[in-house]
Amino acid sequence: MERVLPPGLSAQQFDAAKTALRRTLGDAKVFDTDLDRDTFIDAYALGDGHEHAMSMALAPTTVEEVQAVVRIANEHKLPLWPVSRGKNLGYGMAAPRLAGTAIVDLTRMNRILDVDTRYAYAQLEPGVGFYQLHDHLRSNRIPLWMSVPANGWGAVIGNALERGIGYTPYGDHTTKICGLEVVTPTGEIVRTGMGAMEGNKAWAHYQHGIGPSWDQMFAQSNFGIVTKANMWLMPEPEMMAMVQVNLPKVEDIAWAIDALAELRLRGVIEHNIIFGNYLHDASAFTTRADWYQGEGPIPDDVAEKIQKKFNVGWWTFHLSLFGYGRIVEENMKIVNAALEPRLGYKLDWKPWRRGEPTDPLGPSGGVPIVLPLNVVNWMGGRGGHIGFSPVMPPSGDLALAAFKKRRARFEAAGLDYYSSFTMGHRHICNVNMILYNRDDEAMIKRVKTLFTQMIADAKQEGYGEYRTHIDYMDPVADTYDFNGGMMMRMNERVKDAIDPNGIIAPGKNGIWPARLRQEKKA
Amino acid sequence: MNRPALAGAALLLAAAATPVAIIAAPAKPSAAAAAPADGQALFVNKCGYCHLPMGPGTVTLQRRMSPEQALLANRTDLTADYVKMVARHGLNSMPPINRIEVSDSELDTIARWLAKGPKGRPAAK
Repeated sequence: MERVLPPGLSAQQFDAAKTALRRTLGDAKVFDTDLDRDTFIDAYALGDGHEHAMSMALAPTTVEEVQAVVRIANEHKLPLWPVSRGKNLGYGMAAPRLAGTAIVDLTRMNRILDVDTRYAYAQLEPGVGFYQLHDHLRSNRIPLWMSVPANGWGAVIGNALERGIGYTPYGDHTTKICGLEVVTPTGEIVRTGMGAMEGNKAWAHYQHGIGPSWDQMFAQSNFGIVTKANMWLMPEPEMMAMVQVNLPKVEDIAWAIDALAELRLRGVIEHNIIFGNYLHDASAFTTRADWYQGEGPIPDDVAEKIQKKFNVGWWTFHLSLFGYGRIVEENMKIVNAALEPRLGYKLDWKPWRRGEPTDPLGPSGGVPIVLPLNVVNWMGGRGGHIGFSPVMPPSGDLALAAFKKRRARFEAAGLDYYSSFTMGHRHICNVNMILYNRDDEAMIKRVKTLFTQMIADAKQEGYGEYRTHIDYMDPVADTYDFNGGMMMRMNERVKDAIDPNGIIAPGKNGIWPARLRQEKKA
Repeated sequence: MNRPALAGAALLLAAAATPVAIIAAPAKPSAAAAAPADGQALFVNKCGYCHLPMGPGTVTLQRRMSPEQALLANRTDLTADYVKMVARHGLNSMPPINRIEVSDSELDTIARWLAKGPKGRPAAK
């Protein structure tokens, strides 16, 4: 493979930067072989992924080393792409937006600095993974629960900064950040919230300080490298109760979303609900070829077989209730009254009580798993997935309309419709997951067309994505176009003010520094 | 690293009951009982996300081999070189594992441990 260099740097200039980094970090923390480059290519890329190849990866283990990396990068105009553990699967993994960027991989900066049992928070470095924190809590018998995403391979902080979600009442991860330590693009350390005061004792207790709150400035952005975060954890509940609900008909989505939205809004259901179609379980355990060998969408009779085999409906969702036993018992009655008349059957709640094993709860109880990664096997070959996830109001009619339109697009592209309407407090995130075979060039082309169509459709309907893959950061950012794209102009002004050399993550979510703005996709 | 032996997905993946049941769980490697640098501890810590019971690697391998052999720790046909090649280059839907996540020396240790097969190792404590 030819050398991949960032724009504007000659091989000689790049090597000078690398030499300086080796001198500062030591050879063992600089990774620049062809093999290193290949292992950091997005394993689910639409194509070979080489357009996002990195030039080298750096593995600092202290905040001082992160500062040193940033200072050297400024001196040499070397762009950096920070990742926590680099498991942003479906969004590019660890790969940078701009080819030739050096990855700052914080996997080895993974200390659990503090867990406060009484006030239910943890102070973490960015490399701390979900399993690592889970093991720590469990092996020390700390009665706090995490919230974990569907794929628990990644890092607690990285996921929260990308606005990932989980399925307990603490599932809006980005809202559970309470104070960050950040290395700025020019190499200084800033602490947000109460941490801005030297010696402040309430850093992890209150999310603001005096004046503006900047935590969210560092989420999905390229305004700094987060080196520490306080994350709120959930006190272990006295009781939990869970139920699976299957909806037999496609049209059931309309009434069910409305009913669930009411339960979410009123705080009866306090977690993000995955409201998904029948392919979710089938794709974790089987492949398409197990069910259907033909071209085009899966026929209805095959869909019925899948539903029967996996005991799911056309749509299926799971609900959980958490808290004191008496409250859970009362809330079960409220949910039953809201759903059972329409369902025509009694809900079969599974109770869990403090002291019982939590493993069987899985992500619903904050236990990390990675099994859902298996969905990438669905189409055969080297699989991948990419999600198009616009945010909508939680209306049943809107969800039904969106479903019909998206499914038609999937089917026209000859791809299987895999979707969930993840229900937040006052919104739905409609995750349209495209599963593909990377080895099938024609299919990849269809996936790209479908994705682009869905961006345009959603924009036309008045919706935008909550997060996107490195391939689509520019076009998705362009859909946020109020007042001629004023938000992006403001982002660019901030970028240019705090990162004058354009070092940190050029192109992240469409934000390009002045010196690299020509790299933006038209 | 502790791993849920047979559970985990049950709530997220509604129909886990059937597929879970067909995975026969061998003795689960215990991270706590192992020295930090030994092959077993490293295997569980670095590969366990996917290659313990109910991991996606195990479930995928089970499609073409027996439930017992689908668990890498039970395999008798792995060579150290093959393990290293797959880890660094990926295989089908398994992503490549980079050298920051698993260093060369760690991968050597894991690969040698796996290559010994279950009969070549001291019994798990």
